Amino acid sequence: MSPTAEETVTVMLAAAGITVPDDEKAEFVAAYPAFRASLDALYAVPMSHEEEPQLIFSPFV
Amino acid sequence: MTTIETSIGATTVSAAADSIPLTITAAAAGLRDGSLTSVGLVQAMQARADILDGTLGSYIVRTDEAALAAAAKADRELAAGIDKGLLHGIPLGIKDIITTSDGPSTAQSLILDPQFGSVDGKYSDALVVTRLRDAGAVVMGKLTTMEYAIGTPDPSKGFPTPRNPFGLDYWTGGSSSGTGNGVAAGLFLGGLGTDTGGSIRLPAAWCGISGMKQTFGRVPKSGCVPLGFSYDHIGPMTRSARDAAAMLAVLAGHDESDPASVDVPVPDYLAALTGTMEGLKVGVDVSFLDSAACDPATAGLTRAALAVFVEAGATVTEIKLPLWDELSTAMMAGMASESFTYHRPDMQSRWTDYGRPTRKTVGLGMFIGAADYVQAQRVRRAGLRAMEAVFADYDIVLTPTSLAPAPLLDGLDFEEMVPSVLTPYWNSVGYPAMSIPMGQTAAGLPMGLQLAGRPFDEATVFRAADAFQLRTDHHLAESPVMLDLLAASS
Repeated sequence: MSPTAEETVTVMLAAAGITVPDDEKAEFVAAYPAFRASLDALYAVPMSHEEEPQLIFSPFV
Repeated sequence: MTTIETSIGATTVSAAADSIPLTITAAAAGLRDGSLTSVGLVQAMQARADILDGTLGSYIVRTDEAALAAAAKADRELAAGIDKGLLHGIPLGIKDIITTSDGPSTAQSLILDPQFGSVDGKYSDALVVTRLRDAGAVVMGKLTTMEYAIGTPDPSKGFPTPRNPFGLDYWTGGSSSGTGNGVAAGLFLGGLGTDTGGSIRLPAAWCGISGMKQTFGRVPKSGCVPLGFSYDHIGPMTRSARDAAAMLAVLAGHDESDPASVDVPVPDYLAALTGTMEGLKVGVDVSFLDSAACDPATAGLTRAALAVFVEAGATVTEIKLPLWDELSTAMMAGMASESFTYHRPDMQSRWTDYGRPTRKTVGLGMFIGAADYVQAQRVRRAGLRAMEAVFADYDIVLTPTSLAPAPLLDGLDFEEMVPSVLTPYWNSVGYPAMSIPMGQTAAGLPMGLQLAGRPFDEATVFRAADAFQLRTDHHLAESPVMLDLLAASS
């Protein structure tokens, strides 16, 4: 069973080491499902399976 | 002051009693024909700030004495025949996330280390500020922003709340708010903003001025507090596209102090302003005009603007931009990840010292996994491939800058507003995009038209924007609210 938005937000806040007031946590919980869905939609963008990210490491500073 | 008439008969001098020039171009002409001095111009604009800034909230810090000294130096140099170009003696403002040698920067936050931008207690100019000063520009002070260039105002933190000069109950747009409302109100003739998802173009649109987010990597951003490392730009905000071109000509150019700086030649932007759009192929995505978030005025103003493009010689074709939602998400999610990385330690220990809008927006970064972030960067590359296909057929792509005018400050919600803002898409792909005024709503609130171009082809964007402004006077519109306040004080 998938965790609820509240369970996910609670865990991720704890993992980040951040404590927020209850009303702000409630805002994150309310926003999370749509935000997660927008992130999941990124995986549906047509592209080569081998497409590189726009992150190219350079050995020089 | 010399009055310069535009090709449609509008003047570039303020209707206020001080008759200040409205544009850098007009002021530069006055400085050279003897009708204006830099000291006189700076004094007039400081006098305006005395009257207006308490209401407008443009400044964090004014550097009046240093500005007057720089203006006097410019006057002496111009009198001696030393001419450093169009910005010589021109008053400009600097968004307060960009360092200057005048003192500490705040990023309009209680969090930023006051020593940011200093070594052994001595503050230094960001490279862009050095370039402006070397070109003879006069720095008038540091300007309001949204906290760390994100979110909406939080009056509880003790910083000024920037207000829209065309309606004081309305927001300026963010985050380069003080640059936007200050240029519109004549507190300086141009300034630096920064743009991570639209923070130059949105306040430009809603304050009735022009603002350019040039190609990513064109202008070094060293000396600027980061928001989204791979999305941030420092760029010019001015009344006219011509003025913005003059500023970008000074700001642009490779420097190794910014790892993202790209070593490509800087063209002569002013020489590209031909006054015509003959031969330009323009794609316009009007699908947004049917959305529920679109204000009724937006469609009419956009279609009227398109008619000007046709009149100026462009071939205008309706298109549909690809991956709109996905690239906009890739910007917002990538920015949230990158900014949360920067802020995580302070957010762990000083959460409530941040303004609530900043907490809400940057805090989203903690809910984005590493794979999500990398996927956003893969989507950006896929987006670049799609952009290449679009710009194989078009030189310029148009949309409104936003679908609605400035919202009321009371009840403002950043997340609710974002869907009506059409700017983040271009930060995702790093292409140049500019907002220029395209008229006002029935309530007198300005609206902007967004022009995007090929990477490192700001010249064509400026050319189209300038040709548009030679045929319209939206960019010269002064706020009746500001004119009334100035008249009442005299």
